[in-house]
Amino acid sequence: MDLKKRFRGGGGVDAVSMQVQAGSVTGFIGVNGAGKSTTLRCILGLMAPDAGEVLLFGAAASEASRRRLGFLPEERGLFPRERAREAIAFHARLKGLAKRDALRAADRLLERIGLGDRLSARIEELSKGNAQRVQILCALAHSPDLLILDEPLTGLDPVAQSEVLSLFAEFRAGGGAILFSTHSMAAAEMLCDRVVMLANGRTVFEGALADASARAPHGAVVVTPDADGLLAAASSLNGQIQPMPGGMAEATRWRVTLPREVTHPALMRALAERAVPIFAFEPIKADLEAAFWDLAAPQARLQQARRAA
Amino acid sequence: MIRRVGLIAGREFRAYAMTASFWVALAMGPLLMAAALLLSGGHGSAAAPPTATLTLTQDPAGTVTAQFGQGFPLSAQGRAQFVDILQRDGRLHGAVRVVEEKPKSSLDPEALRRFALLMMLWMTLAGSLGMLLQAVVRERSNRALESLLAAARPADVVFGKLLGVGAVSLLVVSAWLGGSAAMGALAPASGGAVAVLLQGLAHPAVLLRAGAIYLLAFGFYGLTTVAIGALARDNADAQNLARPMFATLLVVFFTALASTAGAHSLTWLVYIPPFTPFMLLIQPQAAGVEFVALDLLAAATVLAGWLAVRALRRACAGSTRISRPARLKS
Repeated sequence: MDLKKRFRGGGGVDAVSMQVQAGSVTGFIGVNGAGKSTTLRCILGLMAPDAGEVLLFGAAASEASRRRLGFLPEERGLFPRERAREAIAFHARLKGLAKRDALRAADRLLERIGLGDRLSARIEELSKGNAQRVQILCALAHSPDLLILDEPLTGLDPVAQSEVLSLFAEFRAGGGAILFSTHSMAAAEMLCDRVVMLANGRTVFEGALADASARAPHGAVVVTPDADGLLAAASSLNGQIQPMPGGMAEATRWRVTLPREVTHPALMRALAERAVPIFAFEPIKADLEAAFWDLAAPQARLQQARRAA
Repeated sequence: MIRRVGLIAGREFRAYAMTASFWVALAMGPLLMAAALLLSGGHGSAAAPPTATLTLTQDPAGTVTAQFGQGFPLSAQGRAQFVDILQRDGRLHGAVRVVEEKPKSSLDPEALRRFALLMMLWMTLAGSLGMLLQAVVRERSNRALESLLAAARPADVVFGKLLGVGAVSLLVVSAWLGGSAAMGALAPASGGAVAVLLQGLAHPAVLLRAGAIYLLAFGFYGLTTVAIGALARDNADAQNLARPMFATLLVVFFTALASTAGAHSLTWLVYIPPFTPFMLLIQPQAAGVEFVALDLLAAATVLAGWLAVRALRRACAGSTRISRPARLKS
């Protein structure tokens, strides 16, 4: 709650607050440098916040409550010569499981993802995808109550992704909560029922996925050489225009934001009435990505400007 | 904490020791010693056979010098009585000065023993520190350290790695020292230089002292290495940061070597922690001196441990700075 952590060279978080509900999957979304990793490190106890508090399972975070967390870092690293079963059991034992229980959990999970016949395979003998799945099992083996995942689907092929997603679904069905940080809006839309958006070290949105998508701006991307005509058409509908990257030599790409009650045909009609030449017209989808750009991008630009200054 | 340290240490130990190449390399030491012992036999550099000679010389002033050979079968008292009998029989006149013949062999078993111990322990230490550095940097550079530190404290990781690699290192030292002791016991009494050397090592007190000194050296240098590894971001960084420590270790080696050759003016270095273990190995000191030197080494080891834990904690907290912020163009 209200986490604050600043670094000497700049960066960090200023006011991050969020809640992960039991049995939910919460996506933690933000551009690089937004403060996601810093927040996760504070939750995991890898660094102490300058201000604010981390509450786990209803009480101040402690060593005991942190044992109920499972963590999958973005960059994976297992001993290449370690055997899959031993690697999983090692992490489970670090979290307090007895040796026999840890090995049993490792066997069960490896069986579950179809690696039951490769219990004794060394990590270096596994494919990259399988090695990553083993790393995910390392985070799951001690049956945590909250699983913290940093870009969990990176580097996995579609088949492996679907197996991993079903593992997460199984974990969630068992009552576990998941907090995962990602840049991928598609992954967030696929996995989450709640999202937390971070920009410039601050929480800019926290709520249900559907609510986030509803915050997406309504409008269209229009490519035209006639900026004045476009502005007149948008203004007549109480809309706004913003230039976007990716235009052509003779035409600019514009983002037209409209009030929700104005339809796309109404915009096209207004443009036709003013004889504005249109090279491309693409309605903005009301999805998480659009919502993110609307909510987080202005903050990120501000952050970038501050850095430049 | 002990459980987590043990788990991490066991994992480190298995990472190095559970390979065929490790056991082959481990067997090489004793095998090389056996080969050297067999090849040297009793030839070549064997010590000169003992001689039962008495050389009498008289200087112009009339003083007689009686020089007994190294192998003369009488004690110092017996030799004095022998000279006395010669005087009373009238075979010697005037004052008599009794001297010992200087040894002709250049083999000083004690110096050889010190040199061999220094070489064995120094080489094993340098190799083990390299392993330890890799063990830290490997996880530091790919940020796998984060998942470890999410489950264990920095101190658990530091001491787990130190003990794991330390156990591997101790196994290597034990193979060398144990092999030396076994070969020394088997070596013939009239063997060559190798036999003299191995016999010098085949004393439990010598081996135990060497083992204990090695552990002290590994504790101090090992914790320093973990601190360096935690500060480094990758292998190249680690090599650069570790260079001063390895240079110091090299200076320590040559200084200890000079002490082996009799450079007694360097004995004060026993009070400087990086030098302490090796200076104690080369030359046992008075109990008071050793007590003070070991206290200083213990303090330096605690300091190195504190720095290692702090460096590891900061390494993990600071790794957030590795990623560069995204640049939005619009």
